[in-house]
Amino acid sequence: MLPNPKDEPQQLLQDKIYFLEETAAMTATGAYSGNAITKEGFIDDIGRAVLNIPNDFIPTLKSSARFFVDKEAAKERLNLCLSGGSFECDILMCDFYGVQFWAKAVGKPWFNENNQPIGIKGVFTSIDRFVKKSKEVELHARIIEAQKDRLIDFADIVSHNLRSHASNLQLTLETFEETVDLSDIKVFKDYLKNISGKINQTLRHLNTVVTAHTVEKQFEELCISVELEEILDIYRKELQEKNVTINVDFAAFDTLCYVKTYLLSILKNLISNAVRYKHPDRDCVIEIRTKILHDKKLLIIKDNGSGIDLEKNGDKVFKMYKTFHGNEDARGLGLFVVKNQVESVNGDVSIKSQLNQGTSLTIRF
Amino acid sequence: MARPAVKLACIIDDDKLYVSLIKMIIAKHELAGELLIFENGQAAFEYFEQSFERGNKKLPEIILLDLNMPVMDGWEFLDAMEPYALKFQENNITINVVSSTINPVEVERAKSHSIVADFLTKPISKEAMQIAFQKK
Repeated sequence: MLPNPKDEPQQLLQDKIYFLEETAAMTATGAYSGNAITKEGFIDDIGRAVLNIPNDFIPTLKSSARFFVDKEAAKERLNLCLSGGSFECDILMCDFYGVQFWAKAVGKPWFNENNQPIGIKGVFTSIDRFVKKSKEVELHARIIEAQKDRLIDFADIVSHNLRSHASNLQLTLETFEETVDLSDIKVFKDYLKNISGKINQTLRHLNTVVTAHTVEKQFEELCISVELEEILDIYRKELQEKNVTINVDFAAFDTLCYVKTYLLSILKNLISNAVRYKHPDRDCVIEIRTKILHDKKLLIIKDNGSGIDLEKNGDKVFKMYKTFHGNEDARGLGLFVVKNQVESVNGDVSIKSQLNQGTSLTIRF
Repeated sequence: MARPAVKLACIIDDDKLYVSLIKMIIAKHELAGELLIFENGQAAFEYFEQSFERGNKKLPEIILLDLNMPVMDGWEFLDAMEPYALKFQENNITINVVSSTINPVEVERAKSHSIVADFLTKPISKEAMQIAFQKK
């Protein structure tokens, strides 16, 4: 049993030091200070361990900048303390060898005997494990969210589309119940054929939703320009008839490791959307180009079509069976399928559009 | 021949097959003299807006409104028409939402909309049609 610290001030102090040391060791909390006048720096043993600092390295105020990813912000924090302020925040740091990690740091002004701030002192600890964990959880939450959305889409198709076909079927049977007229029977058969076609189509769509996420995905080296030619070959005649111009620029990159059927589906759907929703007053011009942004490969497909009012329809663009133009042949499936496929291999799709100006879709692989 | 229950009825629905079936039922049971058909909310909205603003168009006595449509869906149509709620009342126009949805939230939302008289589930039976048209 510990002696009652109240009895002995010496014991009290020793206990305090003991607890402080133990806490610092357990939480790997390092202490640091910097003197703005002598330009000296200090990092204690635990801090040196966190930062992987070799024994012979003596930190100075200036050389400590290497431990911060954002050096400007570090300087600002130092200046804040020099003007008497303090901070407590999460900072992206890098250790002696440049490995980045998240740290929680506290900094307070270091006062001289005249109560003038002459530097900074504080403690810091690595919270990298927790930040990484929470990022992982975030990612999982996003995947679950996407899966939930897909379930809702699935339920929507079943409840709305299948139901409406079923109800048309019922209504047709009821309407023609007492029919004996031959010409009526022909109409009756036409209606039945129409409904059965639609049911089949809906079932195919349901299948698309399911398979996008369950089918084994085969990645291979692909040449976007070659795949594009393949698509264009199929639609060459139609594109010529409709006076469609397609400009390509694959200077940024042309090869890609991806699922072939998905790349074909992306190109086919986005080109056919651009053609389908062309502006009534001008010929359709489609620009297809690649770009590399923040180490990520992007494919951008831009048209000069009639565009979509994203303010009004932004939340519905990628939903199933949402069409905006009242076109005869709009099925409201293309973007939905593309989004599903791209997301199933961890990419994403974004859209920019201006009514009467055109639409630009960006695929991030 | 008996006089039709209503002179002019309006159908707002993008499902062509459904519309032709409804037309047949209305004709067979002499539920309405004339029909006004729009394939989405936008077209219908423009018609009613013009009619209310300029009074140059015939107004129906009953509207059968679908919910799921391209361009402007049924909800958007109802919201767009809300400022004219009084006009609908003055002209004795009944709006019935007709949808295949069985989602209770949507059904309730439709029923509680200030300018909606009733909610009818698809498939709509001839009896339900007769009741809706005879309420007029």
